[in-house]
Amino acid sequence: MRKRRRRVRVLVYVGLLPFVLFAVLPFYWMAVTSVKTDAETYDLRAVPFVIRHGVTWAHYAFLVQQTPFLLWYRNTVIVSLLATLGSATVAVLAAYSIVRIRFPGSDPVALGTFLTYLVPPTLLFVPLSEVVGRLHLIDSYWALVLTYPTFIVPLCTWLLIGYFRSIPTELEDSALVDGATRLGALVRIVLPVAVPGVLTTVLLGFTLSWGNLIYPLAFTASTPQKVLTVGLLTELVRGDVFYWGSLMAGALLASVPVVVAYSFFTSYFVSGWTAGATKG
Amino acid sequence: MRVVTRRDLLRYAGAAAASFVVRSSEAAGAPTVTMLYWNHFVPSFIPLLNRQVEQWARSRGVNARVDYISLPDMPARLAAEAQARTGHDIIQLSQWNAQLFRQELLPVDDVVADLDKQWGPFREPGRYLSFAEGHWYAVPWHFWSDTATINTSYWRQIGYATDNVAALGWEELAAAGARLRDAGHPVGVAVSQTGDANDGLYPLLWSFGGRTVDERGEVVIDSRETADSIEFVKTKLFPVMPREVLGWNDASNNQEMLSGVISWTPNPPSIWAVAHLRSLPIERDLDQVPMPRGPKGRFRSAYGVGLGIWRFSPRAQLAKDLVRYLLAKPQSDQQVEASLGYNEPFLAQCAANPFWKRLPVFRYYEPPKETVRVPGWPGPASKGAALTYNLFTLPLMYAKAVTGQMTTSQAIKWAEGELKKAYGKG
Amino acid sequence: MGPHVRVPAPALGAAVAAVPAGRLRRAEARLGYMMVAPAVVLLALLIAYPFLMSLYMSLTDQHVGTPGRFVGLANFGYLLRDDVFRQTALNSILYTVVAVAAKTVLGIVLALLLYAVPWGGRFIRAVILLPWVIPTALSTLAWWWMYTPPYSVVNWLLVHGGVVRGPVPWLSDPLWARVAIILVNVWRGLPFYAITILAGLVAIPRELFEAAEADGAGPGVQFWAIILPLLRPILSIVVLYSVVFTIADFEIVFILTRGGPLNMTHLFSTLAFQVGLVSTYIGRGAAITLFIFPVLAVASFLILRIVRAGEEYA
Repeated sequence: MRKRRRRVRVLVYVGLLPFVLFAVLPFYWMAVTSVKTDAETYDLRAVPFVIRHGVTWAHYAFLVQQTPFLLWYRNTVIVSLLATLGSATVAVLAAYSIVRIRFPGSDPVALGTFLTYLVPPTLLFVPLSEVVGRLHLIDSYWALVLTYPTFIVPLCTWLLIGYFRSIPTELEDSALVDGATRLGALVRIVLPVAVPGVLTTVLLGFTLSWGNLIYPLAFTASTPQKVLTVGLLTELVRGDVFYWGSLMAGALLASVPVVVAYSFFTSYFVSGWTAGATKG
Repeated sequence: MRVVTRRDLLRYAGAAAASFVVRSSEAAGAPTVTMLYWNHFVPSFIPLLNRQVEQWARSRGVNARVDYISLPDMPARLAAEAQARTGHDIIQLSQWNAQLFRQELLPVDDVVADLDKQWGPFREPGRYLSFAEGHWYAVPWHFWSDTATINTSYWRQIGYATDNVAALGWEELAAAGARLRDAGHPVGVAVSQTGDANDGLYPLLWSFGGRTVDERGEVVIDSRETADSIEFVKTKLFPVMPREVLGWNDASNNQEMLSGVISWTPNPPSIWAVAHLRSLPIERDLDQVPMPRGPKGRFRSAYGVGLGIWRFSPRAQLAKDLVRYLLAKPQSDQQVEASLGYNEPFLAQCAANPFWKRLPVFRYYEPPKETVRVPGWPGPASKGAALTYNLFTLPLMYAKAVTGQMTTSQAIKWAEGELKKAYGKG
Repeated sequence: MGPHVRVPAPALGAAVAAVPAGRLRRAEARLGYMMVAPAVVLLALLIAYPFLMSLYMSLTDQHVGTPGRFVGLANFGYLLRDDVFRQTALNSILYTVVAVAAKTVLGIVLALLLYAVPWGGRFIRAVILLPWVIPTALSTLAWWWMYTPPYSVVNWLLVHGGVVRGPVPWLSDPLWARVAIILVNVWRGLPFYAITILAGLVAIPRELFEAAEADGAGPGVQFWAIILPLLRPILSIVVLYSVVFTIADFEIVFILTRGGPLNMTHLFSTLAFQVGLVSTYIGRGAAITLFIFPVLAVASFLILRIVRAGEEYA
């Protein structure tokens, strides 16, 4: 019996191995390319996975010193944080009121929120550029702070609706009976309990903001206004010349905050997901 | 021999980082003239442009700034600015964009006249791209064009010196291509949905006497000459090329050349420039030769860059002044150097620059031996040409024929249908 | 993307019982409106309005920089007769169906493996999530590089691993190009499927498994009789959301193939970008994207039905 269980365990790891390799291979390749010399990268006789002719930091140096990479980093952080926090606030308020207050019309509003989530950005960005233009936000990353909520708010609201529904009302009810206001109940009672769910939505919003390409493509042009995705693409692919080493270096560096955030919050993420999934 | 050294580049590049972020702070409260240009791949060009713009700004007591965007993103950017009626004062108008955005552009006849008088005349295809319905909508600045980059060591192996290669016609190229393929280093021109494919195949078509449209924009692709060119590619050229050319993107031929895979490919000078800038060993084997002759001429495809001013720009006069400044010979000479000879000025006197004589690899680039034209010529340089180019109608025609998806006449008929739709004739 | 499926849950108590009466209720309703207002205003201004604008644009012959004339359904008629568009529609459906099917199957397999992992599960899950976490626009560039001849790492592996004799023309052959983009889509989306399905697995009460084992049911039977049926709601939701987002995919195709070779990988959104912005036919570009709409409508209808059906059990 124990032998069979051990064999099953081994099989599970063996089964997972291809998945893990599949997931990780591109990142390993990114890392290797980012420190390989151009001469070796372009040398077809070399083995791609190893570095024989020395590690070079030239690609990173080029990226950091000779492109506004750090500036884009800053912009991306600002945009993502603001858009996410703003969206999360809006979403929390909206979801809570839809679920708990149940004012007349809350159902159509919930439905409307859901439907807006399904409108893809590639449909919206041309007319949106006109809206952005009228607000005189064109070519500013504030345009992104304004437009990113278009995909964060619907998603987060919908998730939080499901999540709030899963939280029993007894806690708030007793607080309300004791004279607390709805908002007070939300802030002091519900939110602390809802941390996993809210954190999940914040994390999702952050990831989506961090990696968005189309809106920055449409709404920003000046180099100092760019965020990471569009900056790397536009400054390291010029005409028919690819700066592969720096591109891979930039892609890796740009991925760090998201990975870090996930590593800290994975447990929250999974439990929040679970709750939203099973009780929503 | 003053070639841009690595140290120069580092110096330029160091200034680049600063100039990206610094806005001229002296004239606070003064207007800021903004310009949109593409992210030039030669690192030394951008800081030079920034410097020139800043010098101009200081001399006028205003602010000025250049923003850089990747070439493929340019259309979307222009579209967004035209739609929103706000954006940069001066914009790079490449190829047909001057005529496409005509209604939102300020006529610049005065600037063109001034420059023509001082440094002119403007070479073709400057006027072709920028002049329509009685007015100039862009000032033709510079272009780059596709010669053929070759690997001289592979050609030497089959007994050709560079100047021999320079004299080849298409048929001879294909014949040599067979030998090169057998030696393991084939020739390659993109037959895919990418700019390189357009830029390599239009000159081929033209040199066989084929045309997509005539001067009035009537679709004339269905011709004996077109069929001849297709037959040539199908039976002689494509068989000696790697099949991957059907899926090449613009960087593919660069990389295959830089890695020593192919021996001949039409391309602007970016291949050599990268080898030079990155000190790749293959640099010493690279050279550039004219595009091959066809039965009805020798052509080269060009990519023209003009500067335009939005009609809704509140700083039109200043913008015009900056344009005049940038195109003047002293600035133009610096630009040629800093772009490693990549930018060929439209103004004839600016094109008389000894730079291209100094570097042997450029002796066939400037002045061009072929007739330099833009895809869509001789039809009007507007919507139909742009649409045809962006939908890769011509490369698709060849691809359909060479892969056997269609017969030659079917492919021509298909292209004819697409062209008619593009030019609004059906 | 958000699975809020109602599996039989404990009763939620007096949710409705504490309805305040009269004036208190109106005051609460007012508060409710105020709390929901920011979301509604944002979505109206930035989604509903532009969407309607897009609808209008699709009925005009608008080009960039020029006002359009109303042309009714001319754009749609043109598209339905256009070879490239028809090929694109076929591509989009093929891409979506195959990618979603692959992600579903592999997602279940991976979820089961993750469920059964005795040690190191958290770490492995974190690693598995990487493709989904990294911005697609950047990871896709890595894949482009991985596919590019003559440097293709994928080919190097396949050739040196003895799987193929010669390099695979990943991006230049219509069939392989489609495989290539689907592969990247699966690589990117699989973690999401797996983690979500895993959440569903975790929610299945252990008692069911124990009872089944006591009855002598093997793993196969347990899978088909217990797991799959109970996963059905979550699976349906994930699949439907995935369909919506896969069919509107843009970045992967744009970066890898730009729609080629021979228009064999164009999706609605890449074609719309090409036609609407690159070729400046905004009206027609808008019309192309609107073809996604029936899929959205059907998918949203189905999602809602499943969610509502789940609600009835609650």
